[in-house]
Amino acid sequence: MKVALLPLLCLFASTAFGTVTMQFSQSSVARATGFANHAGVGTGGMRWGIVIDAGSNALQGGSYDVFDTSVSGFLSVGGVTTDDYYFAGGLTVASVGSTPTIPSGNDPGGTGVISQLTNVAIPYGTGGIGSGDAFSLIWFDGASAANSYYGMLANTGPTAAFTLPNDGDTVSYAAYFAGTTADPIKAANLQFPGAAPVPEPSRMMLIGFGLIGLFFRRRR
Amino acid sequence: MKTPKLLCTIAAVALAQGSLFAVNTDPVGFVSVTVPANSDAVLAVPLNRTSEFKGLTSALSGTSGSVTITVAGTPNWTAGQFAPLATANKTYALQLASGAKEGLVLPITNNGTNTVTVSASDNLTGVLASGEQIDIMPYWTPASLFPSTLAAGVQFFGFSAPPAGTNLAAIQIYSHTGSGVWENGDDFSDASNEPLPFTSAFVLRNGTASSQVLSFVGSVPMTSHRMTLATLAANKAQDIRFGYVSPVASTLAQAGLAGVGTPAVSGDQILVFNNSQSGINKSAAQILEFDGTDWTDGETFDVVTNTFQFTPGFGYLYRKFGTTSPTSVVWQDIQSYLQ
Repeated sequence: MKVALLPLLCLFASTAFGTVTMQFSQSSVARATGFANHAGVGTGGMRWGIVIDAGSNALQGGSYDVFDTSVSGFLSVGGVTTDDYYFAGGLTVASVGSTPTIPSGNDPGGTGVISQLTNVAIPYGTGGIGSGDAFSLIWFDGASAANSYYGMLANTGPTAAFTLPNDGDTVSYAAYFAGTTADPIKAANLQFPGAAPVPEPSRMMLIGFGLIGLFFRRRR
Repeated sequence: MKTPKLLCTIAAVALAQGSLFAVNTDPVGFVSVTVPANSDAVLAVPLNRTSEFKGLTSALSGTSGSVTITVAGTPNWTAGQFAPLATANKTYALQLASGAKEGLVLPITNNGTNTVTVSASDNLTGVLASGEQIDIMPYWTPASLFPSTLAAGVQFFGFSAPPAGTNLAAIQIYSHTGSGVWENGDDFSDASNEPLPFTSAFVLRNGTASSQVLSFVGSVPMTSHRMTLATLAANKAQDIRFGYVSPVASTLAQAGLAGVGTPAVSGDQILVFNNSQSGINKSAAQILEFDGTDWTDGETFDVVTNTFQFTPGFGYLYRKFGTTSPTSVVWQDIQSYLQ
């Protein structure tokens, strides 16, 4: 079976970038934990990133075509490029321990931890991407392939809403995550489409060929 | 040895006598800064950690990369005592205290009984051959610089080894978890003993509801301020976070940024931040621009070369004007109190 890996279209009409640092875990506030594989196990080593709603028209998470998760670019649905921009991040951390929070108490830590995007250049001005755009976290259960799984997490506020920072800013979204209790497990429960099946001859065609073969045999 | 003209001190300590290998103690000083609640402050350390060796060189092996310096006499070091994190969680630097490259800081990678090996990004041809003064001192680290009583949750944002360009977000993020322990935001490792580069500025983010008062205590620098101002890509301005190494307020002219030999070129800017203003990710409160001769206030156009002063303990942003190809210049200046 063949799987078509549709290429990401990287439309850089402008070379402007927003260089930002985005913290999702912040010591003494909260850790972003609970990012789990499809089986619901918080796991280290899963690639993660963000998907930006450049068109401000809601993301089409759950419908994306398979793509190379190590490469940033606009995602496709059914072979058609969308205005959802994927920015590749790092890898989840297996586990992290507890840390004091403000003013007191402990973040119990957890497994499947996302840390931060450090001093990354996001193509502001390209395809409508800009500060203030909403984004979702996305993480992948293994290498992307037909039928593989991924997860997405949005946050529209009121606490630490997931919106892109201004160029040059360092912003923390950690307050969104649980600071005194464990974060809920977030399983990768979205699935890439399966491979397109190779067309097989119809039963009638097979019967037809058989009949033709019988016809020529009788004529001899 | 230079005679200081002005000391910013708690108490001046008498110099040790006799052997070249005793630590001649530098004057001690302190600088106090306040970080408002729920705010950023752009800071830099105008003092050094206590020197652990002062002496003279006698030979040099190598001129760049891994370089081994032999010191005069018999310091009776223990092999490896200056290796990174081998001695009481310290990372050591060797600073040139005389000669054409006075103020140059070289990270120490190892040492023998009378030799020290450094990593030299500068070409040391003709430097450090014999009879030059050197200081060995540990780098500041988050645990050594900030008090253990600092509120948990305070964050350190560093900008070392930046990429090309301007408006750069934090590159190193260390969070204080309490009791003097700092955590690396990238991988949650212990960052308490991460070396903080000389002359670098950083942002301290106070996310608590109370202002934080910091007192930097250390040795008054007795060597020149020296740092590199470089563009990293063609036709692209470059942001460089810096602090002028002086516990005494200094004008731009006194800091060597105007007049003969200045490294500043027309179009260069210095961004000044208001550390008493509340808020995070604050934009510059004042922008100074160099016109080839003088520095002017970008808003009022007043000439400020001899009036604007670098405040001890404050950090600044030098925005080097774009060049047709990556260019590096050295800003080396003898502090006013050493003249």
